[in-house]
Amino acid sequence: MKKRLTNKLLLSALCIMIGVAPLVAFINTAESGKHMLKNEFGSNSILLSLSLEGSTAAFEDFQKLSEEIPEISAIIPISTSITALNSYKSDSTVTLKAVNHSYWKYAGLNIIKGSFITQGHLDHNLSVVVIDELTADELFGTTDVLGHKLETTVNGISFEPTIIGVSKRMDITEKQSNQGQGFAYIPITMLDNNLTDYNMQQVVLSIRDHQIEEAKAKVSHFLSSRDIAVKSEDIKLMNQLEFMDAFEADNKILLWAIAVLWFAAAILGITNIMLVDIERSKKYYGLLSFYGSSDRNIRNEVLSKAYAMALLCSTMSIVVGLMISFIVCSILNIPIYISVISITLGILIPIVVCLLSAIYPSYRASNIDVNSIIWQLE
Amino acid sequence: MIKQDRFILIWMEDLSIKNNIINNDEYTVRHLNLRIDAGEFVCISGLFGIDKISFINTLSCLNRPDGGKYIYNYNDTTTVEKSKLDAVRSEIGFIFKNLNIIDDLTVYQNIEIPTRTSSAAGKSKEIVKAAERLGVSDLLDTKVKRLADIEKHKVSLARALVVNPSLIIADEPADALRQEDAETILNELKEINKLGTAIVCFSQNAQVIEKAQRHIEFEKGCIKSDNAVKNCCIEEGVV
Repeated sequence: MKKRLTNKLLLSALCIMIGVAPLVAFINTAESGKHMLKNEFGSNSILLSLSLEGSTAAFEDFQKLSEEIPEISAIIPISTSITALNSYKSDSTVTLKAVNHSYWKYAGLNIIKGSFITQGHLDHNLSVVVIDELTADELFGTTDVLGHKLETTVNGISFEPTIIGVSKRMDITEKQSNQGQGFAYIPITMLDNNLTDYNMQQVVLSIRDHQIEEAKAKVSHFLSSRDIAVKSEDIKLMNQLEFMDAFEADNKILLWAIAVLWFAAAILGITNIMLVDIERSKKYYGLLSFYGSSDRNIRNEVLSKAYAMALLCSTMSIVVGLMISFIVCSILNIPIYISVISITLGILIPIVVCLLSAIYPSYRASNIDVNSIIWQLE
Repeated sequence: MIKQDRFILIWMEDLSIKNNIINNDEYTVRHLNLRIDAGEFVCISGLFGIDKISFINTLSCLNRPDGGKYIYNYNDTTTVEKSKLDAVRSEIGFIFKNLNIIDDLTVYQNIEIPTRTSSAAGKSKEIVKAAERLGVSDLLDTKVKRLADIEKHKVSLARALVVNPSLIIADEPADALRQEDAETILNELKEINKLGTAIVCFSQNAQVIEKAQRHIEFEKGCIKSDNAVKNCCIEEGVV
């Protein structure tokens, strides 16, 4: 009987945890993403894409530009070429983009396996590549390709990069616009170790908290002062936070709905356990009442058990929730941000659930028929 | 100076108690007049079953009387509010016929029950003190189900003592024990009584009656006799 009660108790605690932990994890992950976007792009970012083919612009020119305009949060050099990738099994012609670590946030790439190029890959000049699902299928017949090596030649130099990530397959429109070719991404440092001699093909500047015209004027002024010819320019306002907020709102409703179902199950479970416990401890509560404990004190005695359970559940939920968000953030390569709201919810929800569960049992305990218990009249 | 053991602890005037357990209109006690002073050791006999329970419930302030007046320790139980009645009851020690100790709890937890919801400081000291007084302090962490009968009775008595009661109500405190064990428990009660706690025992047992200073005998809900026990060593006149 005692074992069955303990099992029921653990199941109910699990119900609360299943409801709360994903909420904590979701809020923390979403907040981490928002913080990262805010730090990278600001809350109101402009993306200025400059086509520099034929110009003499070097990476250091844009580093100087970022010193003049501190609002430039990211400089994303992009060098595009059509290249053949060779695996031990097959070949594939792809659009190869040599980029830095900021590219995937700007491009909104969905990495489904492994990770995108990181600052570490650039700093240590590592020979790595990220390919899309289409290319992976063509080269290996599978998308489980992490760690495999490829052979390629870019600008006359041969490389043997290791596959570190796989991005999501393109949709039909994207595929058609790219002549049915897949995409591959390598660190731009593979083309030029220090990016000193490298002539920029295209660069994307992320400028935060600026008006479009103001940003455009400042950049044009700088480029003309250095005689850098710009073939074309494309400017757009990017509000990733709005997108993030919408994503968060959509999923939050679903998560809350699922959580509420789990909480209902937990409330039923805990109420049932408490009623069984009170039935078994009738003599105890009867004696408390006989010895002059007020109804309120007896109710508090039951509620204190609910508080203890809430404490256990909230601790477990927060720990599990944080663990999930740590794992998700490390997979997405986002610096973790622990939200106060998530911790507050992680504490409050189990307390509310446990207290709601204990209300009826506490009244049952305080209304036990003392005569029948103490004098055993039943 | 008035001695403390001369205070009126229980004052019943024209008291009537209905059989409130079965909820019928039968009277358990009718037009009862009774005074028990602080520090007395009284044995009541002639009340049985539901009648006894109804009387104990009223005596212990669990129920209000159905007629007349019952003043316990200067609290009029007919008029005082329920919370006060609960507070009054929390200062009375009880020894039940069936002991009412919980086998799954330890000795400490059982003794703690009367003070469990009290916020008074030094509760654990009182528990240890009561256990030491009865010689069960070594068993505080032992589950009651492992104890011998006499030890269970001692735990029950320690639980009655933990509230520092001015009155202990004992329902047949020694009836289920062997004679020598019963003697031990009754001697303990006697010792407690000597320290100023009034004892009201409900028993027909001659061994218990002998220990009391005063024997009140009921018949058909009325007092048939109320006498000082002859062979009891009475230091001062009681009745």
